[in-house]
Amino acid sequence: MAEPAIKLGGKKKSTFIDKVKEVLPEGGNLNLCLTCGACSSGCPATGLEGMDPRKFLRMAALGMDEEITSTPWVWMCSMCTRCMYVCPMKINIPQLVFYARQQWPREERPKGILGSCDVALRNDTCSAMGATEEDFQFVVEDVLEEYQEAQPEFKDMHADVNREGAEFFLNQNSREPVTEPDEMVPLWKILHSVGADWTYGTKGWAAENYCMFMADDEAWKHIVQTKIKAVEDLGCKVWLNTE
Amino acid sequence: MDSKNVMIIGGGIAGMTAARELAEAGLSVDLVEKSGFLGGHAIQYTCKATSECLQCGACSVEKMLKDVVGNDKITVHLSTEIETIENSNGYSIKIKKPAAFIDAKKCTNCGICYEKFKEDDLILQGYSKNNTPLYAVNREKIEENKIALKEVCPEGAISVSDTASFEDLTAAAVVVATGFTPFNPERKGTYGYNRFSNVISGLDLERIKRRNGFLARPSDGAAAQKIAFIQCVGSRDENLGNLWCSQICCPYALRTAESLKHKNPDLDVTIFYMDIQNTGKSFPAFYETCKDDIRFIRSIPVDIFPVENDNLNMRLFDETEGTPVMESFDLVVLSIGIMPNSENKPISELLGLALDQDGFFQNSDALNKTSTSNDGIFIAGTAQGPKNIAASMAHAGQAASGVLKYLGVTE
Repeated sequence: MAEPAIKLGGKKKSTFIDKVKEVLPEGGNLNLCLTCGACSSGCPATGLEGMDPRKFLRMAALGMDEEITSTPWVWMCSMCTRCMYVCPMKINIPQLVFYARQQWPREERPKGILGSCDVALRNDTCSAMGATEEDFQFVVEDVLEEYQEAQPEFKDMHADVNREGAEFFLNQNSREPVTEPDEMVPLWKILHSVGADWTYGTKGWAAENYCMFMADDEAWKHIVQTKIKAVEDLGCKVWLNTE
Repeated sequence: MDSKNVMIIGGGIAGMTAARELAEAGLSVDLVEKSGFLGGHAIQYTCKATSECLQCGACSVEKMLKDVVGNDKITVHLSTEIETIENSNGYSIKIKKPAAFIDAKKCTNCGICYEKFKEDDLILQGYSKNNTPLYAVNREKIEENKIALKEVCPEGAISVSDTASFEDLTAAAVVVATGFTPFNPERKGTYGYNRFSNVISGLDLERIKRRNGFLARPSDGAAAQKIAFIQCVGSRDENLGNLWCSQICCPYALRTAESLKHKNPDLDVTIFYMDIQNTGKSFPAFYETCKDDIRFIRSIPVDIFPVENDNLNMRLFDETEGTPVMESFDLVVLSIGIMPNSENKPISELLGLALDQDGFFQNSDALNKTSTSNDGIFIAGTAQGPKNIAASMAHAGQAASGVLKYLGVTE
């Protein structure tokens, strides 16, 4: 009788990549990499911090958990998902990056993103710049009045706030009302020209969501729920998030 | 010996090889080819020799073409399609011939018709001087050009009738050698094929070399000085549904690069790859020698941008450097892969044969790659899956041997 097969090694240590595979549909195809490098050729963040998407995925596959959960490169990824788009095997590298972000202690995550998320959590506007309900409403009404007067062809243009029952609930990135208010107007004009039935809301109006980029799931969820409630409270049919 | 007839569908290297093998064994063969010329894709390739033969197989296609054209046992039906095929006590086949064709017996290859109509794509020229006749009528343009076609040939070699004609053939066995369809690189949109004139496919490169005798840039006809090959275009790609390795593209690119370098030592060649399929007896050693002449970069590029003078900027990532750089090339060659023939589905339905999950013809016996579910029908060449010229010839030889056994000519 033949000798029994030799079993190699002990029980495999669960690595970071295995945990990510468990939560992604089809395991994110994370074990299908052909190492072709199309991801790295196409990635805007390739070469920063000595890292690129292929190297990142290979290091994860090799179980180099400490290195990939500590490289600041994960914060330079813009989550554009181009790596996955050009990948011949549809590998979900962006989600691997996302979960690597989550391994960072919250207080050590990049200051800009962390601060923006925390400010957004402070009030119901969800504004990462801390703009209040009153500030937003004042700026919108002020800018609208200015344009209605200066451009007679838009004298009937609306930019309602808190109008119940409108078809669309429009979000607005905080940067516009706070620093570049005129930048809100082109979209208003488009909506006016097509006869769209839309409104802003004083609650949940800020389009940005830094908590998502920070990979803080609880805070991300809170921000989204606050916005959904604002849309539902006004009885709007469609939530338009311009981010 | 009984006079037994075999029909071969497809006149590329596999079909021609099977035809010659069967003819040499004393059988008569009807070789049916849809295009106007024998030779298929393989005849379009140029010799890759440097100071020594690189065993690309291109010359064996020329030789085979010559053998087939001169063989009395082989009847060649060009520009011909299979209309119906019935299987009862052998095969009854109806073939369809176009309303206009060039009669090989009368044509003197003078080229008058071609000179007159090449701009209109009405008369096509074969890739090899061994194509007989050297010219063919483009079937798609016959209808509106019948009168002109009748009058152009001084020898009266262009036969023109009102409609397509049909002919009934019988065969004791059939060989399916319908070949492949090259990958259409337009599907990899960021490479700009058919948008940027100096992005070409490997097959385009061969045609350019045949026409010009050197590698001329499509934009201005100047000799290319700095070129890039991108491998695996269309192959090994789940997004496209093409998970297979086409097997020919790595040897193709390496041999082509070496042969170009041999003629022009100043030529700058970069090959972008994911891994080189260096299989075969001498290929690993050949690959090593290539590394002296060619820059190999182990990353598939994604972005190509057109710049002045029709040059191409490529964002490339050399992992040994670790940072991406933008580099300019004056010609980019896409090493396109072997796809199932785009007409495999209707052909398989006509013949009652199965296709595999990728769309190639399925061999019914796992250990015999020429076998089908129909005992008298055999597969040869790339109809069954990706193969190079030598492998297609070997496979066709195996199919011919299967036919001979099936017909009781050999045991």
